[in-house]
Amino acid sequence: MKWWYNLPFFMIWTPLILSSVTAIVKPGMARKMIFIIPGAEIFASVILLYQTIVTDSSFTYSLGEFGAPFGNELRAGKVEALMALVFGVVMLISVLGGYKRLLAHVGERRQSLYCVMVLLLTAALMAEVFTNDLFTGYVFIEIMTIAAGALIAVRNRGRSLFASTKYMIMNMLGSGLFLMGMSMIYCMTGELLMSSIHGRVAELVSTGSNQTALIVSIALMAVGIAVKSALYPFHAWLPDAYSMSTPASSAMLSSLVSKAYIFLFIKIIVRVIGLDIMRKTHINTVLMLYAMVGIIMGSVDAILERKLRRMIAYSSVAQIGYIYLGIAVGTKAGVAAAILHIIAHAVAKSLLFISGDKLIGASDGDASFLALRGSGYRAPLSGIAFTAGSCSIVGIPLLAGFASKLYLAQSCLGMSGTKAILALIVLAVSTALNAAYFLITIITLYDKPLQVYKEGKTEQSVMCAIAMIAAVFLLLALGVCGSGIHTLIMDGVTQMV
Amino acid sequence: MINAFMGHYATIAALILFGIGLTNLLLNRNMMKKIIGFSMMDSAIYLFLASYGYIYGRTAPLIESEDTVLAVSKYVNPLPAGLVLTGIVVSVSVTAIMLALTVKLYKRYHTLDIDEIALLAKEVDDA
Repeated sequence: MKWWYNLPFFMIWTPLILSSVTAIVKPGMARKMIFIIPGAEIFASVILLYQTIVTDSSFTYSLGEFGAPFGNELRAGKVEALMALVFGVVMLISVLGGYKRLLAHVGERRQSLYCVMVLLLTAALMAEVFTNDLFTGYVFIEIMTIAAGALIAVRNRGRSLFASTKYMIMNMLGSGLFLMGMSMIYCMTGELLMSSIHGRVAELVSTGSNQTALIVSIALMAVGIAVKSALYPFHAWLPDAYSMSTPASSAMLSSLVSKAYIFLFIKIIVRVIGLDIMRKTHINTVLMLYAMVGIIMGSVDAILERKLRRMIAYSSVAQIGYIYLGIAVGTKAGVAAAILHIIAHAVAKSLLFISGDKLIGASDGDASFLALRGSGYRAPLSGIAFTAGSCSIVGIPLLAGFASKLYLAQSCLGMSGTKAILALIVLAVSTALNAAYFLITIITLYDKPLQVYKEGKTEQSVMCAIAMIAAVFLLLALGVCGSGIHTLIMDGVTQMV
Repeated sequence: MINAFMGHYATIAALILFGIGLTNLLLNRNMMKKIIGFSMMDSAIYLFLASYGYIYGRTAPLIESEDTVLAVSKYVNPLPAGLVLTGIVVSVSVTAIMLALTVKLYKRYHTLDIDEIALLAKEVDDA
């Protein structure tokens, strides 16, 4: 047992303990915490990633050394360490970029409570990445739901409260369905650790018993997570939640919360059920149908939107469709492409929300496209950052989105004829649709303004500038080193089983 | 078929309650009834889980002194009860935040009807 085996546990435990401490310290110290903790998480995950790459291994860390079925376990490998690193970096970018607006939106008393929620969110993210136990996954799903609901509601407007209520209701629905599916799997297999459940599920499938119950429980878990991560027909909570909250919260919600649920789902598919059983029961066909409809309808809804933040929110729906498409391919290449798209989308979407908020701020707080004309000249760095983020989402080469879409399309070729052709057509059409609304937005940003704005050229806050520049460089780096990262993820997925 | 039903009262009751709770959470317009529906839904799942811990003919896993320890096969499975306890805590926390949100919404819009709140939230653009 090497010393760095302990890192995943401390990455989960430290924010959890410090969140209680943050509730009682002075607001100034609490505000520093939301920068210190993501920084510490980044540091720890870099060490973990380095060690897992150098030793080319993934390890299981059992808490208290109790054996199955009583013990709790954490599992870490290359993919988990990479996801933890990405989540830490994106959280730091979101907090840095949205800090000034946060101080304006949230009163003094509530700021320390906001910091408590951010720390709880960090703990839950790390737990979702590292957990090897299904019930621990459920508990931290609920913690993340509560933290995210509080992050939306912290802004005391009526609309934010209503958005948070809608978010909580639909997420409670999803949690209930997920819990039911998980209870059924526990009752059928008698195990809670993901690796142990896999053995039992394989036994059940080979003896042919409990087939209907197995499929129903997998379907319940899939629908539960689909509701919580806003797959197409279940995305009703998403536009309000992302557009009515403070920009730091929107960036965190869109880039981190949905992605953590999807990563847990990937772990369930790969580790608990197994990719071959998923293909055999045709669950991936149903997921693929929803994903394809979601990709098209998300983009169509985004084209119809006339306010910037709601448009960005609808484009999230389409991007989550891409990720589910990668999962629904049903091969390791598809899962690896989905994970790469998670990383690319997390960075790009947080960058879009941060820079979009600055552009709206430079237009007197008006988010409609008429008011945003020419805001690229009023806030030059934000305009460049927004352009880079949109180009990444559209899939222009040299940026992260191109690498992930390329690998998605490549993995689609691994399916049977009709499905592959349909998937590739959907990918092509959706790229055109994405270009339709994003490139039009960029042109609007650099158009002639309709009036002179009082807030015109405000000073660029240093923290936000650092966040945006870092995110743009990250997109470029992911785009250029896409194949290297894809190989890393493929190795990690092979060891994730 | 009848045998299957007769042996699994708790499971059937749990599924019926789950359905009722889910429908209430989703379709009812009153916020309080939605929260009650959620509570019902989660309680149904806990009934489902806990009922699977019981094994017919066995006794509760309590040991009073060293000489009254029975063989492992004489006790029911205590693990589902532990899972249910954890789940109840989680459900209570979510109910707490939902109730807090409902109180704030009521103070602002003076109604518990979610459709009316949706209309009012669109009209009144308070910053």
